[in-house]
Amino acid sequence: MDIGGSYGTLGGPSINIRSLSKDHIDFILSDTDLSVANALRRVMIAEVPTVAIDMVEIETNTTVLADEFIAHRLGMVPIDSRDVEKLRYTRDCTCSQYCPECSVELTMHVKCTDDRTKTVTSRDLISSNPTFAPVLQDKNDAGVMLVKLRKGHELKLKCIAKKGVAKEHAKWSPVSGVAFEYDPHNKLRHTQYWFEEDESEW
Amino acid sequence: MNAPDRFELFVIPEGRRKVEMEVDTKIPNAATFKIEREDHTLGNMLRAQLLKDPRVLFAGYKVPHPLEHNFLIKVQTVPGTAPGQALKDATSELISEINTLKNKFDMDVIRHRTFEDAKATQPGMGAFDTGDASGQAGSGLDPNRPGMDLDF
Repeated sequence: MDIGGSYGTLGGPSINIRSLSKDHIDFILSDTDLSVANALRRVMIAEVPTVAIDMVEIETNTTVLADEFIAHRLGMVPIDSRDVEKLRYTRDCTCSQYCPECSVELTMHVKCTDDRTKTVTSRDLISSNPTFAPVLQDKNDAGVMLVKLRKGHELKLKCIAKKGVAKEHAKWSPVSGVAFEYDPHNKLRHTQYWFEEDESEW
Repeated sequence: MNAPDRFELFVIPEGRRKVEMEVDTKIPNAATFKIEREDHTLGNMLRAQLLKDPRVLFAGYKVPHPLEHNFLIKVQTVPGTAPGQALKDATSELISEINTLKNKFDMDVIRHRTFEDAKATQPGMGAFDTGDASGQAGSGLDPNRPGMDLDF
């Protein structure tokens, strides 16, 4: 199999990382076709598997938000998916409904007992599998805000988080923004600008 | 009420195959392949790769309807090569290209991290271009940098 193939002696595509951090990467991709760069972008957005809450069983909800509203917000909570390869898809699993091999159970029980407004955040979610817990930036991070409680309000629920891809629902998308740019000076003339008299105005 | 299940975008139902070929009777050495539960992500890549092959005379793809999750790719080759063979070769080349890309990426991450570590250990710390990740201006230099959670 000739890897150089259509590229001659270049040896295929190459990558040059410009900056790299915990949640952001900026790199230059060269010696490859535009369709590959676009496919990479599309796959990053839609087809990289992640773990997100998929089913919510609500035992008590006396908050101001509706059950389905809270369930939707819970679905959007980001869950640490670095070990997602170890989890199976529920539809591929041999169990009948769901099991620890194909899902993660998270529970939450918050009750507001004093006069101050209590904020329920993703920190209140307790995961049955510590490898898959809601993401926190650092130890001071309060977590994603879910609902605010007044005195007497209570929220008790059980969530099942499953592996999935963003093609099924955007909550499973691992990225917040992907963009790529090519030919910044428009040398390929893929873009036609407006001009009054002559193209040299561009 | 009428919305189809979202997993229909990528789960193939029983009985259907991923790839189906239909030989074109009117044009020599031409065939149309129907690939189920795939979209422009794969279609455009395959088409572009086929066009690089000198044995391919015609290559084009389309998604016939956005609500039906499949695409058609039509290939015509020179006499002597079967369109199916050209498609297979294009697929293999793409797989090896992506593998090369993956390896080069992993290597570049390691190169980038060691480069950053080397810069960080220089006396009189210069600016990090991984900015917000470490934020350890005063706490001294920790080579493991707890802020980073890259573990390729």
